Amino acid sequence: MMLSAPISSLVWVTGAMLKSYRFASRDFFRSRQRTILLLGSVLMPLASIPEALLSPLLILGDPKVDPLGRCFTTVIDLVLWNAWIASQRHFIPPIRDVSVVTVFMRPQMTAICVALRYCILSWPAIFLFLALQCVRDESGRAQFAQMALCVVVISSGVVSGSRLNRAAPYGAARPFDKWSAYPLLSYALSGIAPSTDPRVPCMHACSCLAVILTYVVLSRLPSSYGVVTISLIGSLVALLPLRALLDLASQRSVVDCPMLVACPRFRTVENCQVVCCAALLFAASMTASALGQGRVDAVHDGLFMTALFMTLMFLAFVSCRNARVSRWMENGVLCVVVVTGITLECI
Amino acid sequence: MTSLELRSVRKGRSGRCVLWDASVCFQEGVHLIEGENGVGKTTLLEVMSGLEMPTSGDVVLDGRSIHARGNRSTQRIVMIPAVAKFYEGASVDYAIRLYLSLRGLPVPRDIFESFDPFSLKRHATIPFGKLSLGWRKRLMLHMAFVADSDVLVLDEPTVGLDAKGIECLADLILRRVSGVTVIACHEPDTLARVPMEKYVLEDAAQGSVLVARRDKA
Repeated sequence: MMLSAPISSLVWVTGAMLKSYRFASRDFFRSRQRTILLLGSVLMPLASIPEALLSPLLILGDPKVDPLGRCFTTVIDLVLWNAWIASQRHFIPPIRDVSVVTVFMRPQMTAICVALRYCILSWPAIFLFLALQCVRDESGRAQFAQMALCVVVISSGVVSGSRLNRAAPYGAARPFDKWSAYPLLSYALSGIAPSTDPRVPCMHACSCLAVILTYVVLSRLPSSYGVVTISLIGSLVALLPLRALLDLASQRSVVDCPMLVACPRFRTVENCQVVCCAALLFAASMTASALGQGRVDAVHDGLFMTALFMTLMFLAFVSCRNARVSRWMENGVLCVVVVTGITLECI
Repeated sequence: MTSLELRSVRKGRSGRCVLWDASVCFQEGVHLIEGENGVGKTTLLEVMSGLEMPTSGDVVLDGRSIHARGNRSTQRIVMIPAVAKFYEGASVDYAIRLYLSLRGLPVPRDIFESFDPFSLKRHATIPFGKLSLGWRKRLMLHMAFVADSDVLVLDEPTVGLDAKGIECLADLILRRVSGVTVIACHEPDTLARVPMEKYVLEDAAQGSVLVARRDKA
């Protein structure tokens, strides 16, 4: 009886949010259909490259699929994924340092995902790991590593771009008023322009260093460890679209319904939502990981996923409670995830 | 006797001071805040309803700061923003049920049976996103008055309402026997039959200053 009231409230709020999300997406897509289809077909692949990483991950551990088949599946997944995004996601261009990735992501979701920005900015590193796994002989690995490092440097510059120079807050983002083409192109171009922020080369240097170190470690380990590492990184990246899909962040409620914030049960419902969100992410990550690995030790992976789950819950709570603290904590939390993963790998 | 007190409240936004040392004690009754556009009325209402933290100063409800740790007094405050916002996919009926549920109030089978001052029943199944401005406002006001709150803060409640709606709103305000009601309104004449204490937010160099006129409107 004690729990029935908050649970019913949770059901009410979740229902309202899902209804609104569907309502807004459908309404927006209807009004912007032509522009989305024309420009989106060009820009969406750019925007969703990290999100598409989930698809090669899913068939990574399947030895029966040949490389050509993997590429074909990836392309198909990419196209389907883009079509789904175009039809479902409410289109609001946010301004945030995750740049191209966030073109199709809501500002609130971007704010939540900001802790993972280093993963996003170093997404080409994922291709390096994938390439290393595709080529089994040592000499081939070295060539792939060199090539992928170049890709890392170049594409990181493109991904970051001059958008990092824009110090606009989340509040500056707003839906398109008249025609979607101008802001869409403007964002795409500003993403390509070089950045003058000194933090950008530092971040790229860190990304490259991390890639080199990981490659050195991977080359000395049995191949199964490499698969585990790829899967873990892939799971982290996969959290982005999953989080965007859920769209149950509590900050959304504050924006949508300020008068609900003062309701006595609102905090309880908010916390329940965060827990449900984290649990769903956990389940999705586990499924993706299990599908993509095959040869991985289930105990190690389970332990890591549990650690990741706890970290995400903590991060979600911190983000909801205090934005200032979350800024300080985000890097620390990411470090905890990585250190936990490495520690578990070494057990 | 409920009282809401602002103690030297200052609020800054985007590098400028919007409110400068707002100090006032709202006793039970209806209080009207007037001021020019952009002077900081909405900011003041958001601060006093707990949606925004003051840069300095404090907001005290019945002797306790509403921002104090563990204090749940903000739950006794209901604020209706000037722009009617809610989950766009939620129908009128659903929205009211959701609100009642979150406030911990009983949700009757027919929610319009005992309280429907704005005649919302005939729009019960329409999603919030499809409602006109006036009907959105009516829904917000319905939710404000269906819950018995100690402090009711209304930001531009008459905007979008027709004459009938405004009459209905005035009736509801007059019928509130207890509690503090604070209204920010550019058209106070529309609520002329409601006795109100007047305050004016005046623009000044250091930030807007709240001045109590203490004359009955």
